[in-house]
Amino acid sequence: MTDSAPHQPPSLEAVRAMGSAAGLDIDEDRLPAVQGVLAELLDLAATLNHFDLDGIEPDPGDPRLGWEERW
Amino acid sequence: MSDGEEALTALTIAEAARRIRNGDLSPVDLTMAVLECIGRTEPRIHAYVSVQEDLALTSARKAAEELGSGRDRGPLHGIPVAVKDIIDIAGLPTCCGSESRRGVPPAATDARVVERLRQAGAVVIGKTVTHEFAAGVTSPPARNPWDPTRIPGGSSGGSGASVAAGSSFAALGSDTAGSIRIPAALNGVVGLKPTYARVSREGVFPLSWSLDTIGPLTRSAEDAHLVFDAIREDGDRLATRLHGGEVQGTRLGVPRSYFFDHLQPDVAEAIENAIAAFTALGAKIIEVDWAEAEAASAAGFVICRPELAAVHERTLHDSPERFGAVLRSRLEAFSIFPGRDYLRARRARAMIRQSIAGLYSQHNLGALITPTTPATATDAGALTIAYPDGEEPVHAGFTRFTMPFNTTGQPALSIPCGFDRDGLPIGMQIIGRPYEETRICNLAMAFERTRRDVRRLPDGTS
Repeated sequence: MTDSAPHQPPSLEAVRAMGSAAGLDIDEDRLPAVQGVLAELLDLAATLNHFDLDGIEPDPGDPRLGWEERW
Repeated sequence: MSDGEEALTALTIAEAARRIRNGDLSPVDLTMAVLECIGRTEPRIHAYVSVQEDLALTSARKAAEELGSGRDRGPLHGIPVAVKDIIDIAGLPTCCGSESRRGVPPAATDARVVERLRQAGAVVIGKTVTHEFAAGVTSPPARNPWDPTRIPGGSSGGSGASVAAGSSFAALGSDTAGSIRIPAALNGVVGLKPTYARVSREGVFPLSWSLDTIGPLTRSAEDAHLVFDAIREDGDRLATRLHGGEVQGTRLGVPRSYFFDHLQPDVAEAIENAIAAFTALGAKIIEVDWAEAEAASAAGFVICRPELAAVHERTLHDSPERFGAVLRSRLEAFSIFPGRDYLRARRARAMIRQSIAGLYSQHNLGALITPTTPATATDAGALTIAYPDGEEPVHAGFTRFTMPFNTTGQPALSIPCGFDRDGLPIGMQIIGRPYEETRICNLAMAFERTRRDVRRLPDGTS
């Protein structure tokens, strides 16, 4: 499956709610900065949407786990 | 300062080790020369957080005694080295360049990698400045010894500055998105990011568990390999020595798309000259296209940032005021980043690694060559890097060519390959197959031999 839907920038209200759910006390005056950083990272994540990841497991990153034979 | 002192702090480890064994240099002389250099250069470059002068001299005397009694621990025996301040040294606090760590107790034990250095006989001089929690490329208050109005890069900025200035012979750094290779390039020294997980992270404050890699910054490729050989966890010590003769017939890939976009002209020219030097040495240059390079960079950051938030989860909940406003906002944003997207990046990483393995296999490549950074060191206050075709934020620019190889986990090395019109160093990145650190160090050593003009130290330091 390829997910090509772009991320929508989260609203300030959504950021506040997510912060609250995560137990964070995000001040009103910092909400826009948090929103901006989150939107930027979501945009970056969206650039990976072209990968068809069906059947692909998360990569642990450890080259000792059967990596060498692929080269 | 005498001429003798000047010459000592300009030596490589290999040169100093030879002179120690010839009996015309002692570890104590070497350590005193480095301490003198620190006293002279620190007011301008601020590379160190702390210097343990007495402990270093005690360690140097012990090294001299051991060597005098016939116990030779190898080429690092009696060599002064520095350690980035995210890595534990027993008896010292690990402050990570952050006010939030003020007052932390001293580390009870050495990090594994420091233990390895001491077992090899190295003299630990002190701790070097890091960008806060290793999460940036400017490393204040450290400055670049080539021009102290400019950044030393980061996050291992103090390590890079100290090696270039002669105030250490080698320094440990960590590399999560380029933090060894970037300061190596900007300070005109060699930086080796080993294969992921090949050097222990035990006792190192994490930035991103899935990407963090510990490695050396040195003044030559041979030195980088000597330090790597001492700190790696696997294999016999000194099983592989460099000879710098593996270039003839080696197929070197040059990925023209992505890695040659938006370059300062002097950087582009230096890399083309370096490629020509490899051709003259007998390498076969293969133009290749790695379609997933940009995705590799993106996946790395999408993996790194939520992991950074996880590292600081407790402090962010219990005492968020301990973080500066900018870092606090970043951590809060990373904390609420969707787990689904994090896992998607981890899964994409598997495909990205398959794609780079396929590229090496398809073209039978020995290594890839790219610029390390698209630009030389920026002014300390700069927010952007300027190119003829636009500009880019400093962090995004300096990590653009390095992060892809944190995602793939390959060994990658930065080596000086020229200077820009302002006399600032330019770095070339050589990227190997997994576990082929020796091969890329050999290629770098061959390049150093044919381009001796690029091995220079900044004025007024060594």
